[in-house]
Amino acid sequence: MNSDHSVVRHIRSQESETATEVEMLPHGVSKNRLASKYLWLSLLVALIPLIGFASLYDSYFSQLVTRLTEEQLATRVAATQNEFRVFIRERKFEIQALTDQFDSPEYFVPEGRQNISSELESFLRLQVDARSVYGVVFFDEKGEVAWSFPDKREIGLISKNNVYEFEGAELIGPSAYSIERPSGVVLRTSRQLDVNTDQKGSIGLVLRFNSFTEILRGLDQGTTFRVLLQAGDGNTYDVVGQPVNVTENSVQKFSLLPGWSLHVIQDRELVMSPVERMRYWLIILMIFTVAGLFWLHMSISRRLNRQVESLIDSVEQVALGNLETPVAHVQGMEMLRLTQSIERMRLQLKKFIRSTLAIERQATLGQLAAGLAHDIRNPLTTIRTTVAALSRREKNPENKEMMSLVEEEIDRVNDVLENLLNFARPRDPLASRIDAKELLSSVVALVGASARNQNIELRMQCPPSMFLMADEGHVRQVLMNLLLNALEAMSVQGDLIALDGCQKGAEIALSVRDNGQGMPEDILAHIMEPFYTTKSAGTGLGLAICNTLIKSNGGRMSIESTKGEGTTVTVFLPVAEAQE
Amino acid sequence: MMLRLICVCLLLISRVEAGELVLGASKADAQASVGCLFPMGGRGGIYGQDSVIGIKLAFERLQQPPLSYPPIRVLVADSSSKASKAARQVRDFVRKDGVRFICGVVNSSIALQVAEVAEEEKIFFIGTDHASSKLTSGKARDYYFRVSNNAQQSMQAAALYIKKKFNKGARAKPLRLAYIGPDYDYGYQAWRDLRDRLDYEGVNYQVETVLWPKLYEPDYSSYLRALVDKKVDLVVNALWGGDLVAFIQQANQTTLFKHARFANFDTGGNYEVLAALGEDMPAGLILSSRHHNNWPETDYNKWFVERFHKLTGRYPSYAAEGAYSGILAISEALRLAGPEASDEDIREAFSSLRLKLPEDPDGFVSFMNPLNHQLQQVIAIGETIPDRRFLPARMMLGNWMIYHPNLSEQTEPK
Repeated sequence: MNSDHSVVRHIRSQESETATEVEMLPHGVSKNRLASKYLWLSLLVALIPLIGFASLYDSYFSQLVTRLTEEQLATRVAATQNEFRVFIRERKFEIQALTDQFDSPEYFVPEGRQNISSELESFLRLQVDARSVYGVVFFDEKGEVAWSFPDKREIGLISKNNVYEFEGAELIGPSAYSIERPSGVVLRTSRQLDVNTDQKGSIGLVLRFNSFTEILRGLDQGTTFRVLLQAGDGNTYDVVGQPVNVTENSVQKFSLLPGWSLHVIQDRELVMSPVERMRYWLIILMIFTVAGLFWLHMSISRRLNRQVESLIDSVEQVALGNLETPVAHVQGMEMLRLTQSIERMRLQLKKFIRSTLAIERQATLGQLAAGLAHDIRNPLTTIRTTVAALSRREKNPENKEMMSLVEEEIDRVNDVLENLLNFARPRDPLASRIDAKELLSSVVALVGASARNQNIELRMQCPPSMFLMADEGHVRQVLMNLLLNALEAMSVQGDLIALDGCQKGAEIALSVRDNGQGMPEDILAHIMEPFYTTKSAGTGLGLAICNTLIKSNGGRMSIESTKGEGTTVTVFLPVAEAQE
Repeated sequence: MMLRLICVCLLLISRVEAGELVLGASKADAQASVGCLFPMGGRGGIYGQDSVIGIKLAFERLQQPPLSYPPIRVLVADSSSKASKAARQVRDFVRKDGVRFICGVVNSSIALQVAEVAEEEKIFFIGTDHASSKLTSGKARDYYFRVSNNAQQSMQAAALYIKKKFNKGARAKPLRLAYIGPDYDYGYQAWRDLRDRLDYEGVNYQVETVLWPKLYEPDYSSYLRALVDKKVDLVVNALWGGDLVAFIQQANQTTLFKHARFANFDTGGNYEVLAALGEDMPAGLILSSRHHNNWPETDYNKWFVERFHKLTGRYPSYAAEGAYSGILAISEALRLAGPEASDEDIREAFSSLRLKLPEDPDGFVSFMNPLNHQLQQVIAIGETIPDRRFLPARMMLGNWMIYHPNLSEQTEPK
């Protein structure tokens, strides 16, 4: 027993040395792991070019949009200004052509319409065929309307106010906005009709006001800019001639003519063109990409660290001698393989240590048993012989009884020593072909009487002609031991012991099953160890010897037990080869 | 069929370009000459071509018994949609060909100037396709009669339609109205007529915007944007012909037709528009026209449509029926008054004219209003629905609302 403790202490001391070595490792290593370092580095390598590229692209894009819109605006405004003036100049040329034809003062009086020839009337009709001209108005020398063509309605479109000079001509209007009909603008030039009298008259074209606003359509894209015309009446109109109240602050004004100007509105809604919006989408996409990469790296890093941490914990447990706790499994192909390898290593180490301990324990017990046999048995033999001689001579019956008791106790001690020697140095098995059914029947016959005395039913079930290869004495001893253990265990509860024999592959299984009180798990874990017993008078060698004997016959033994339900002990022995 | 169509077109085009298209009796046999003015090319070209076929159908009709009509000679000239050219052609017709009647004219502005010249030359101008009510409002002109519905009549029916379909009671919010019409007299007059009739019918409405694209405008995108920007319940459109086709094609690319109901009460249901748009014509548009190929379903209208189709391989636009009506009206006036009748007698004959026309439903005969010299006809307003009987049009009008003329309501509205 002392030797066992010394072995355990030896192992413990080895474990504590290992633990001390682990504690001596630098702690910084665990905080700055390789996985974290690698992932942070890869994140940095991914992000720096991405952010750099995005910044450069955005800078270029931003400048491009600004430059394009500004260049577009400047170019288009210049073109629109020119187109506007050209439109008026063309109308001036048309008036010039009319004044060349209408060169007599008689046309510039209220009755002038009656004075024109059919050719001149055709000339006027040709003029008003143009889509941008509503009519022609003749003014007298005082600047009052003399008559208009094709009818008087055109006079209603003549405004008396808002007269602006443009390159020697007068631009009058536009007429007041109305939902009745569109506004008109009068372009008028004057000329001296009679050199002698200094008489002057003038011709005006009543122009379609929407022809002025339509010129702005080339500039009005509805997405980048909104363009309005501030006309001579001071009001602003959109490109289809609707009056508009300008409230926006971001209005750029460009002069078209005296009193007429172009308003360009770039409010936030309009500046956010599809191109501009795309730029912001790209920036948002870049931010999400960076955040996504960051999250991905963090997630992988944490997971890897968690797995490695778990693995390190498991390995450290093994290193500290805890071979009972399985290594925690982690996900991931490589990590799983690593975990499984470490788990296999732990199981093999556990098996190795156990077998080493068992061998050492067996050897120690062998030496102990030999010593006991030598040091105790011989004196006991002498004592017994002496006591037997004294008993024969003793006349007093009481003394004789006492001496008889001493002899019995000496015999019991001898039995214990015999058992001890059997466990430590069992004799080599003499394997023979054994009929399992006959073997079980003979054992039942031997124990049957005791069972009946305890009111326990003993059942046996085994098919015939089933042969096992083992030392018959060893197997019989084992079965007897198991049956007697069962009978003892059923002193408290239970009424049935069953002996079963069956073939399982290349093995014959002989089981002893009782419905006694069973064993808890903590007892079951140690029940095969020598000197472990729950009986007050037991030696704790019964099952250990059984196990040793079965192993020496090339078999194995297993015990299953449930507290309160019973215990089953099964012995597996090789099947005997068929006889020729 | 196609060969005949090609031959007819080639014949028409070659002769019209030379200004020599003559139909009907020879100069020697003719008891009266009629000068017709139509555009024969460009966006309005189909009006002239259909009108010529309409004139031919009129001659076919006039030859049917029992009535006998004085033989007439019809000269067709291409006005090119120019007032100056049309005015000159009227004078040429009078001086070179001795015409006593002018017929046709599609554009209302041109019609105003032609009417002036006709008045000066003292020849009768029988208006067909132009629709501005200006020539028939106020005091009747001595030498002007119109034989198809004008915009005022269309808008009178339109106001009744709007009152029925959109005016949900006096307590309802006002109908938000937008108007887009061509920037010339027809557009102004149609808009005035509509508002006058809406006021007359007591419709609660408010005008959100009024837009005036020029005639033959190629790009309506700015106007469409302006319409979509406004919250409106009904967009009343007074564009016609190729302009309306272009507008609807461009509007199909916007949300306009989902944004508001769309109506064209005077010319939108013209077969020319339905055929030109084909699959592009949306369903549910509220349209009308001066003649419909699928209404009324009378034998007379079926004969007119099928006969036109037999001659040309296509179906007629309303211009065909307009020219047909014009020639029938002139012939009827000559029959009643006699070829040698004075202008006063001819005027009298026109003023009391009763004329059965293809667009008249059963039980109704078109008649002239002597007060304004405007023919009175039934107006049918419908919605576009799928109908493949008159290909290439994929949509025709259906869900009809029918409005008979009511002279008592044709006084000057307030």
